[in-house]
Amino acid sequence: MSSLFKSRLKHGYQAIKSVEQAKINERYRGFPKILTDITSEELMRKLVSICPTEAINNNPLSIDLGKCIFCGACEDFIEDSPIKFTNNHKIFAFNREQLIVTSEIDQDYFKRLKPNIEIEKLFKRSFKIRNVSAGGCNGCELELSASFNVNFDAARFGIDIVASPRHADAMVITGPITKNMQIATLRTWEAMAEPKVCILFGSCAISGGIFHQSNELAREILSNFNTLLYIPGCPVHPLTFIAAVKRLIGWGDDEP
Amino acid sequence: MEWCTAQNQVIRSRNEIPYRELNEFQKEISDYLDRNFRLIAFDVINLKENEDKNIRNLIAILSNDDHSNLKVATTEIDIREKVPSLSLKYPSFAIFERILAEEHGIDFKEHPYLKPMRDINFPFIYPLSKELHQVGVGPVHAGIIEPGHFRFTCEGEKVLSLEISLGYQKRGVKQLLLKYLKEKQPLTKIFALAESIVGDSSVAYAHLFSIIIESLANIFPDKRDLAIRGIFSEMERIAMHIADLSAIANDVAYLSTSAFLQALRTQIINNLLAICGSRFGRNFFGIGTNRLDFDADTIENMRKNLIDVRNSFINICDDFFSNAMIIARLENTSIFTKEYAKILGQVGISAKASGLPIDARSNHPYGIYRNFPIYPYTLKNGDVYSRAFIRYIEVQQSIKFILEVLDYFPVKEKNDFDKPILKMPELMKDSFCINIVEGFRGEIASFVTTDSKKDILDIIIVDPSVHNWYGLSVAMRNSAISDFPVTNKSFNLSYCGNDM
Repeated sequence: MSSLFKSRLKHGYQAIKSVEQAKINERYRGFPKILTDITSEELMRKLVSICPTEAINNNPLSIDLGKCIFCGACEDFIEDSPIKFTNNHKIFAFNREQLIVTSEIDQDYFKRLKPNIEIEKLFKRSFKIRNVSAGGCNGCELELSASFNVNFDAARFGIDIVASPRHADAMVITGPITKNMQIATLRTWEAMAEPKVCILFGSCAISGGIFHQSNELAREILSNFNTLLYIPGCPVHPLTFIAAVKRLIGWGDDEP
Repeated sequence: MEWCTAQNQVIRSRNEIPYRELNEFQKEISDYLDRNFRLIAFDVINLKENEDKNIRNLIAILSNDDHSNLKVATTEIDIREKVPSLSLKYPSFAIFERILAEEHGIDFKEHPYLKPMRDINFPFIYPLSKELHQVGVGPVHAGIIEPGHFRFTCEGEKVLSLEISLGYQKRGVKQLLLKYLKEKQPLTKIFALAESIVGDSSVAYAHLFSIIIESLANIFPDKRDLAIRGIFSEMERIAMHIADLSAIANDVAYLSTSAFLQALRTQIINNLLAICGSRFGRNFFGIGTNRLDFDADTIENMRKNLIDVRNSFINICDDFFSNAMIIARLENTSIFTKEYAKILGQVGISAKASGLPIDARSNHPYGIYRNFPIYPYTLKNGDVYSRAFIRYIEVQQSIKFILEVLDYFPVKEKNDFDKPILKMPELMKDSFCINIVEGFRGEIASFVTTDSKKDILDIIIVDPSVHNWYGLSVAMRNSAISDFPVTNKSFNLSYCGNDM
């Protein structure tokens, strides 16, 4: 019994007090800043060819965060690379095109984005989530469940995981959506009551990620869903997820 | 006749793999298995270029763990002909024969149940007795886990059989990987894909791929880099074992332990984040060297952090494992005996908890484990309590290992590489290599061959979950269906590692 009390005393209060103020370690690869637009053709070719997921495009230099897996190869392996990953974890978008980063986009770009539908009134204090893992490697799944652990505690914002799609307001898809999961994913969506939204969690869900060249995927079913939130990452950091969902359901920068 | 003897990480010529006629091949397999060998992999491999469409080369890799020996031989089969099955006598072949039947259309006669491994539409066994009922779970589960379907046939509360249907996670990883390797894509891309084969074992897979390519290309990294790789692997093991224990505690509704352990896991993976920028240790491994070296601060922080984690962890587990309610709930739940573990070819936690000392870190040592081997602890009971307790022991072992390595941290001697190689290095031609690493679930084995043009010809990867899923369904027999969540957590197998 004494060891239980000792553990409890040492455990103390673990939750991050303010998820808005929280900073991730400097080594973390979050928002990639494009320092300069003017790069030689040689450098551009190197950047495009090193990217494992074809996220980098030239003319002008841009990174598609929906495809990026944040491996840092374009920064670490290329001399004088114009790309610099910062530890800014607040990256999310409400439509697919907003995820493309060019040199004009600054750190606060994602903060200024507004959800395209006013769903604040519906979900602000209660947003129940059902996860469908459709080919995910278990990285995103672990990070999604970590969002609800004692450290990150997403439940304080009324965001919670429910066991049945019948109770859910949102379907969170992780993984690149395999052929074998397409029926299960569609059925989960059908089982949910209106109003409902779909959240794509991680680069695999948004674009196929590192698996985009696989021929075992059935990504066309995504058009059936009302996707309102795109959260890039490989895997997504729990703080990114919480910040993104907070913005979607209208918490903004507020905290309890 | 002896088969070709190979060792982990040692490159051999492809011509040394002995060829046997099918009946000899199978007879020799059974001789070896009776002589304390176990099956590591049994698969089709491309050994000759431009071969006949209907002819397949079968390869078997067997291991004698007491002598760190691996035995390899190959045979040729025609897929139009029936092949006698080895599964009835050696059930560890059953899964591999099912995979071969599905992928290559090989018909194994007398196989008890040639159900495709990754076909989700295949019908289930249907009980004829009116006394029995069935319970189906999945593929979309109540928690946040990967998809898989479980079909229980029960008599009241008692589970008579559990049929596990996987394949929902099939992403064609092996084909994709082989394509990238043949195209000589940048190694960062190959590593990124390898780390996503099983995302919670990403360090183990990165470790595997680094030793595969290094042994085929005869690159010998500095000892310090090897030490860092070992430390990363053990950090992943600590984090995942703590997560598993937390999940077991959660399933038996002992929420204090569950919450304490969640916080501890965060402490470990945030340490990885502070070193390499990823909570899962991704994008750190490379060929020749790692992306970063440890500086004095990193070492000091890691040491402090691990000592702190160890103190908390022992305190938490002391309470958990001595609590009478926990013992009553976990002990004698879903017993998996040593006999079953042996004939089903179990590896990793479920083997160790049933009394089989199988651990690549001492049986087939690689990298830094050649200097600092970790010997497996075993327990005899094979119940959920043992599987949980093995994790408790292994976390302490891993912490001890890391602290020891940090104390005797090798100084960098060779400076051949200041950065990992980006382009695929030149490989040895006409060779093969077996590489085994120990992930937190168990051994991850691979077999790679190269052709005369120094390209990779074929690759086999066997995740520990391929062996162990069948163990879960055997362990569930005669248990109550309400024991399933905690039994499943105590095995904690990978869906995507099985489906690839």
